Amino acid sequence: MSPEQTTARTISLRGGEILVALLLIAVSILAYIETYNFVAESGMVKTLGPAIFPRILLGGIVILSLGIIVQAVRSKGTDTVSFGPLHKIPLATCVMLFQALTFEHLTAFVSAGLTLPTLLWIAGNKPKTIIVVTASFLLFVYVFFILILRVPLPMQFLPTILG
Amino acid sequence: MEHWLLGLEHLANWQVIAAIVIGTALGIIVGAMPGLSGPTGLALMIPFTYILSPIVSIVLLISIYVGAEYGGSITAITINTPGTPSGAITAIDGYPLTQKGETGRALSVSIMSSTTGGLFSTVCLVLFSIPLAQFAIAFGPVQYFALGVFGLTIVASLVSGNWIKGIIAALIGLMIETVGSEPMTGAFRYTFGQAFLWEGVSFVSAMLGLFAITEVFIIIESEIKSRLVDTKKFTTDRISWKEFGGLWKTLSISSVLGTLVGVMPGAGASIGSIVAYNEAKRFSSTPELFGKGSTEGVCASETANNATVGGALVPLLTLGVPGSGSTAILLGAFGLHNLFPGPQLFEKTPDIVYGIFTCLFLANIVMLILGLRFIRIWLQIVKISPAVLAPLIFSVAFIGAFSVGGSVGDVIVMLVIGVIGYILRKFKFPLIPVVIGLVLADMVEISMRRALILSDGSFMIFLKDPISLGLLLAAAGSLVYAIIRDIRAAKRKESYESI
Repeated sequence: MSPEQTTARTISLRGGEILVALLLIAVSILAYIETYNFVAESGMVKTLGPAIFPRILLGGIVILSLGIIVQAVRSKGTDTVSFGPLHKIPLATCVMLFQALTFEHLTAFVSAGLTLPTLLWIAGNKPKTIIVVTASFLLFVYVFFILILRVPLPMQFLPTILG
Repeated sequence: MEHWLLGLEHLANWQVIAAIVIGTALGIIVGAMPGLSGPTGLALMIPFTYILSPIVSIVLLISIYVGAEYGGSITAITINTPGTPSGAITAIDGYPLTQKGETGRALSVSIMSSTTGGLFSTVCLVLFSIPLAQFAIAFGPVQYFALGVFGLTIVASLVSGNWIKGIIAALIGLMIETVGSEPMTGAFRYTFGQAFLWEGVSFVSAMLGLFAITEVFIIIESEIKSRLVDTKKFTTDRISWKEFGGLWKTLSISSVLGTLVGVMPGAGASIGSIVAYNEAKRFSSTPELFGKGSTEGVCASETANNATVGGALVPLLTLGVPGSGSTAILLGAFGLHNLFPGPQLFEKTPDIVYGIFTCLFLANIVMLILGLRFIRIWLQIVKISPAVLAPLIFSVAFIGAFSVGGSVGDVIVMLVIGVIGYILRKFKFPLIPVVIGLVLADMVEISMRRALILSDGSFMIFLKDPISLGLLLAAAGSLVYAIIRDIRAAKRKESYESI
């Protein structure tokens, strides 16, 4: 089954804004609590420790997030936000994380050789396109990034094979 | 004069010339691809400029910026799909010209106008930035704090249709920058014991996350497939220079307006295009043709959007304050090469400043040559499928984020910021203020704390200095303007919906 064979969904912009604002308030409170763990050597600061700047910013985020909530509650707008098939973004994120976690262990080529075709598949490409694009990209990486730019990518056993 | 000679010396370096040609070509490609934009192209290229000398890196990135502003018009004119936001104004008259079988004329007007606007604004950049930098040399922490607040507020309130969202986005950018070792005491903030966060969030990872990864998510979920476009139907006949000269009135008005809008933080190329388009229509002897395939319409929009480039570089180079996403990324790129825009840049490294001036002139000429000579090649860009492009953008961004510090941690930071950027974008929070917050965070925090140490903790110090007071009042003024604008827009919308 191709991953695009599912329906798109929409949610109201107002509801989404309230959710984002609540999320921002929650994260800001946690970040504010964390500021008590900032330790500066005594004598380095007077009344102005390393926590003052983030605390001002977090206060601003909380106040403005409340403003967003008030705005959204009072708004009569009917705007919606549409999302594509709901599994696509989480799936793509997992594939990206997989590449991040395996990049050093599986080597750059094997890791990218697994994740690029998967992402191309999630994006809805045909098998022939997936093979051609993956092969071309890996060749491009080798020639441009490794041979020309000398980017230190994890290669492990591959240099001996590739020369 | 001696500074100009230093700047011209760079043109003897083949790497600088190559950077101008390659950068401009890459910029045109990036600008022409719907989904990619100038900031995304710049973010993708930054990691690979580490191995280049500072002047080559900066010239490469500025050339991409120049090329991208023109590139946006290619798909706007040919398939009515603007590659950049300002391209949407070009499409109003560009696409009808294509429908009339005059693609080549529209594209040639576009490139000639872009070059004219770009050259005019470069002259203005040279004329205004030097005295402005001399004025700013007296700035201390008090003035720099106020300048940072002014830059953040004006961008956040002008760039978004909702001022609260704009300011929240800027605060998020500032917060991201608080991660890592604190600049004055060295205390660790929000590092959670992770060594890769000790030096803070990598600027490159943040940029790639905000622009590249967010774009990848948007493309993947939008399910845009390849476009079936027959590029053979596009004509490539050009407008003559004589006919182009007849557009002098539109060129003059749009060049001036584009440059002025570019200087204003937060306004950007799309506003420049809109303002110039409206004025060109007002002053035109054939306003009835606007919207139906007027070469004047294409000329106005394209002249103005490229004129914003030189304008936007004025506050960036002289004060270190970026007014757009592209200039914010450029500011970060300067920092990566230990160059810090502001009066010091003019004093300590005049060869770099004058090198930028010289190369900016050349980049516009190169853009004209590339645009006119290779129209057929640029037309092929419209065939590239976003479904193929998105995974490739991710893969290049991944290598870019990893290559900067050789750390997978930077890649994970890029992904986290990409997810945050995606959520913000979906709910119509602008991303440009996040970037501005990121690049201005150090200036704002360090200046604020230095000033407060001088005043023994009293915030009144910011109101006692006339420059600081003026800047803070201007910041407050931009907020008041944005609040009134939003209230009016909401009322208009309500009355429209009730009808």
